[in-house]
Amino acid sequence: MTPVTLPAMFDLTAATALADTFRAVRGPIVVDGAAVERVGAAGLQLLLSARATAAEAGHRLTIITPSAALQAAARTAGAGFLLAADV
Amino acid sequence: MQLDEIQAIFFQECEEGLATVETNLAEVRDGAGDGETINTIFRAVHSIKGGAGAFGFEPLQCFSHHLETVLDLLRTRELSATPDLVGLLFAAFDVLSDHVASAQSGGPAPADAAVLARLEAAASGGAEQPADASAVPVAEDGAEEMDFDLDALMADIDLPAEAPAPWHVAFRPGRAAFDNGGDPLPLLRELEAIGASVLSLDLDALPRLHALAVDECMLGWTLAVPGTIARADLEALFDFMPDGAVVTIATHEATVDPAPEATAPTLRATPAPAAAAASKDAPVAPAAPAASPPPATVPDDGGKASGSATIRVELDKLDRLVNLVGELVITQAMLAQRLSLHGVGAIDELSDLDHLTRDLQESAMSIRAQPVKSVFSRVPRIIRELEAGTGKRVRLEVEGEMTEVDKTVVERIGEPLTHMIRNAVDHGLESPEDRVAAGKPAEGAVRLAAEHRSGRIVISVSDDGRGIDTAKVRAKAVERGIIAPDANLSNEEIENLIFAPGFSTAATVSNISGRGVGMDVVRRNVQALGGRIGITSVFGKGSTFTLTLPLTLAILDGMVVSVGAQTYVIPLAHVVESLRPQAGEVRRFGPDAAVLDVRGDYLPILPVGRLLGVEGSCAEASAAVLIVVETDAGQSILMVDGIQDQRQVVVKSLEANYAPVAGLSGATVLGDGRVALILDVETLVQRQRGDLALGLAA
Repeated sequence: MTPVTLPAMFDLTAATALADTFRAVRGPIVVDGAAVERVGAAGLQLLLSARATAAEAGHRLTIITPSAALQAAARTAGAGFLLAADV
Repeated sequence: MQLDEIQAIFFQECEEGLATVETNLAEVRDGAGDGETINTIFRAVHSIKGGAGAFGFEPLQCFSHHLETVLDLLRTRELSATPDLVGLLFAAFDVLSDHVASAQSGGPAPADAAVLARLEAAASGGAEQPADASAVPVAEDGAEEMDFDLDALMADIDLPAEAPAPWHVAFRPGRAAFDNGGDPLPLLRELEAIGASVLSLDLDALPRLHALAVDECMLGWTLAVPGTIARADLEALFDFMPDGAVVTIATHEATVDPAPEATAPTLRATPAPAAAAASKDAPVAPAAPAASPPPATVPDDGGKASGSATIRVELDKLDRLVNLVGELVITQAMLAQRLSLHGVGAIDELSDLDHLTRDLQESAMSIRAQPVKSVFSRVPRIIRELEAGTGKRVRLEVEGEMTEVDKTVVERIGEPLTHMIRNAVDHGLESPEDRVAAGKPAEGAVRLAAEHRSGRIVISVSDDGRGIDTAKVRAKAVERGIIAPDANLSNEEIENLIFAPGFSTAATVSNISGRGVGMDVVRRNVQALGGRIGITSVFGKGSTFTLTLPLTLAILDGMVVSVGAQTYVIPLAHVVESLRPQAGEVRRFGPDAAVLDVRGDYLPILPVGRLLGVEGSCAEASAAVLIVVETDAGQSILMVDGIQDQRQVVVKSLEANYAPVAGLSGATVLGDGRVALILDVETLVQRQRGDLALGLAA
């Protein structure tokens, strides 16, 4: 299972580009968030939708090594639970 | 609004939230729940966490955070509701209740380490990962504190002792929020910087991946913003909103004012560099259908405060209303009496006024009425503790929990109820092995029921345990000198000996039932409320405790009697019958004691005048009116001069207005303005019996 790697600038543009990648994943979704430097709400929204979609199918979305910027953005948006499964 | 008032509201909400959690947990346990059940529990815990953060109750916030993590995994089906997990959730619920209680009382936080460890283990088990990053108490990066720590810190800074009510902001940026490089995240950061915390992130409208239009914002937030921020400043933050954004700013009170919505769809107030950069690279924003944003505000935690179906009223105001209505009833009675003196007592207006006053009184009392559910909801926890302490297994059935009684009564049911439940489980039910040996299911049944019966509330606690061994009780009572060895007692009388002072049936006093308060004290407290408690039992089959209480302590049906020049009220609940004896039916024992043969039972006659030291009262039983009263010590007769009336009276507390007087339970004001004292029948009868016993012994 190859992780979906988030870019440094995880904004609307990046989210639009990554949406199909997420849609293509079957089973658990693993996200590599180490490189993220800036996050937009559109990026978070994509992760949240992916997580809910995976959960419906009985799978998990796991963000491995979320960067400080990604963690901060998730918490600011009240989406800290995105990080709940990470290390 | 003062901080403590806001806190009081928070704790009320906690109480409601805890009740919700418990009810829904029970559904999950019984397999009756669905996905929404877990969601409901999650939201309730989430609200508690949010409020705890806003008020800086750090231990409460931290604990609810961990519980919430597990609930979230459950709700996204990453964990499944195994019996073990449900058991853990119940344990966590109990600790959460303790946390709320300690936050409220300012006491030390409960020991939650064991349950916390189990929660963390459950969360990491579900995550197939050793630990949950947000649950690690210290983050690796000092700048990246946990959200709850930050919230608490902010709350400390921004909520000084006199802080006004926090703002409740529901914010839905709308589909067009990402147009032209827009992004709500910088605004959330700004809000965070002024001390706001996200109470909830609303994902209800968020589509799944296949239906997601990445460039449409479908998120919504509910935030708590410190009340120290001026409303204008807060509104200014939302000045530059895209089309379709919905913002509501409200205090915790029931008002919801929509903030002015900006019409300029172009720029955000403070676009973050990221968003600005994005706007350069981004393709021309697609024409977002700004016409159809979800118009509803976030129907989440904040919605509760703005609901219009119920309002919260301070108890003091309610008490004042009830008191005033009581005065009105008295004044109405005085008016009626005065008018009848002038021969116009039968006019229609007076009877209309009478009806209106009664209706008003009933309405006022019904406002104070509360379902006993608030007390019953504590029982499952007591049972769980008892199960853990005794190794017994208990199935609880509850019936009639919506039965309503006056708040003062609800508040005072708790203690006797706890004792009844403890007794039922501790003394009533057998151990699982004994039950199986006796041909019963290993799981004992305890049934808790409430109902209205002839103007009183009857609460019963039944168990299907071993019942009362009357021979053993009798032997014990003789051993303790409570009854004479040759006393002739019915089974019922023997069973009720467990309420006698100094009686304990358990072979060893356990630390569960024997918490320092015996059933005698419970009975005394119940009697002080004008109630009764009793027990019936079938040996080998089970016992039933029955608690009977008046529906309200503010009004009572009474018989108005005269003794000498004084007027007294005898609570009708005690009155069995009244009679005028024929000469010779009264038998005297010496100068002070007399009995009357009432259909074969010799009942002691208590001259009220002499007991209370009233001069000029009738001393001769054959010339007086005898009122047979039922008490816990059996039937007795009160001797009075005459009966004036039978009616509802408004009870005024002697304790509050004067001082407690033995033998009197209160006072009331009669129609003619005179004060009549209400007799405490139980105490009078007990005192007289005590005197008699002393007299006989001497």
